[in-house]
Amino acid sequence: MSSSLEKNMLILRSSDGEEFIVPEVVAVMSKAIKNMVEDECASNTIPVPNVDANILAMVIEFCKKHDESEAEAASDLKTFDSEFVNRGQEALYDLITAANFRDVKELLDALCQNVAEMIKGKSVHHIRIQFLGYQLFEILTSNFIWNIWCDRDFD
Amino acid sequence: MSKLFDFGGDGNFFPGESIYANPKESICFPTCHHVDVYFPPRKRSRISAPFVFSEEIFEKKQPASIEVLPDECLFEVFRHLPGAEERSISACVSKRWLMLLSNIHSDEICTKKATQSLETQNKLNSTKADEPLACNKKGEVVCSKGNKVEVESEDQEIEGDGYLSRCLEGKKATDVRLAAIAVGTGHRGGLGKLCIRGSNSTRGVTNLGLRAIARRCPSLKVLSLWNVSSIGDEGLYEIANGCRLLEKLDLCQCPAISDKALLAIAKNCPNLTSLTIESCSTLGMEAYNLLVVAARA
Repeated sequence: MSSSLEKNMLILRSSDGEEFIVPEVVAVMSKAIKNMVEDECASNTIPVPNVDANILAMVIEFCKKHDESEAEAASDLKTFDSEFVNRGQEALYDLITAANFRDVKELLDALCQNVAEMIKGKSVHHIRIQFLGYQLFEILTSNFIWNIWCDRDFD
Repeated sequence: MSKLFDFGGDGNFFPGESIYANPKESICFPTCHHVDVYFPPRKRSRISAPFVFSEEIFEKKQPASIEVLPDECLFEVFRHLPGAEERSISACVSKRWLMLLSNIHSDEICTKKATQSLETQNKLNSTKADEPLACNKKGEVVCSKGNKVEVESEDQEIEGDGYLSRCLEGKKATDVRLAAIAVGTGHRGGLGKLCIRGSNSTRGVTNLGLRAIARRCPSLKVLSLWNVSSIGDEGLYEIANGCRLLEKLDLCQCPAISDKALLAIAKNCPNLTSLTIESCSTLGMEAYNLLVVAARA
């Protein structure tokens, strides 16, 4: 069954059916996959539900880089990390969800650090607009109405 | 002849317009999506075009919201926030953020720059709380409900012996307020003394609120709970695990607290010197005996 495959390769299948062939050392950076491999409940193909092909490709790229550059200088890895996490918010959230779900600790740390850096130094309204998708106009009116109607008896 | 054609009335016809000159004004009717845009001064009824307001316009433009992240991911993000100031500001953003932030144990915060947080701490102490959640000396605490944030300055402060103390009374005693206190005071070592007298009738203090205090205020010395029926054993377990320095515990009319919680307190808080129990129907002599045994051990 596994004759067609090299020994230490695993196939990951994303939620939309695309398959990625990755070395086992890379795949087991995800603790969830590692557990599956150790328990030997994984056949050649490991389904990765909830994660689509784009995101999975990014995660694999990150894991590969980290696996290769184990011996390299840590600064290289850092620059790679900072470039890697420099993405749009939507992709960031998807990546965080995926990293959390597959339990890839390095990736999760790097991503959360990035989001925290984004939050840092902003005001409350700014955070609401940037991260919660509020409109400036909504904030202004809601505060206004809120102050009038609910003056202090809000809790 | 040409004047005859004008009898149709088109000449002096009121051009249809929204009844609101400014579309923003129609926010006043947030529930009615169909506003007639056409009010002609004629008897014959017209089919009015439904004027679907705003929903699409506003939803289309919304960028990805961080709210799609599950709680544990947001928790991870908050753990990486570098300083107390950032955490206080984030806690003002929404109730969910506040509750998550209040549940971060002080040991769990990953700080790369400990010195920097010390600096912000000093700065917070010296500035007059521009940022609302930074609890200033008047005992100003911010609470948020839903997504709204309001500054309140009425929580009175009781003279403490060199440590922070807060007192919540009546309807002001809510989980949200406790969480806000916990986050706001957490970076300064947390509260030393907390009194809860009575509880909000609709959203009373529950075990969640006490858990926030227990996580963020490890140096709590005095805790008094009066007439808080919604706090049960779970809350006191958290206190017993989080606040090992507890010296004084005052329970009055807390019917949901049982002997087990007291035993946990007695085991975990070796400094406990004073305990007052009043009108707690569920606490019997057994608790007292256990405490005496624990105190002697």
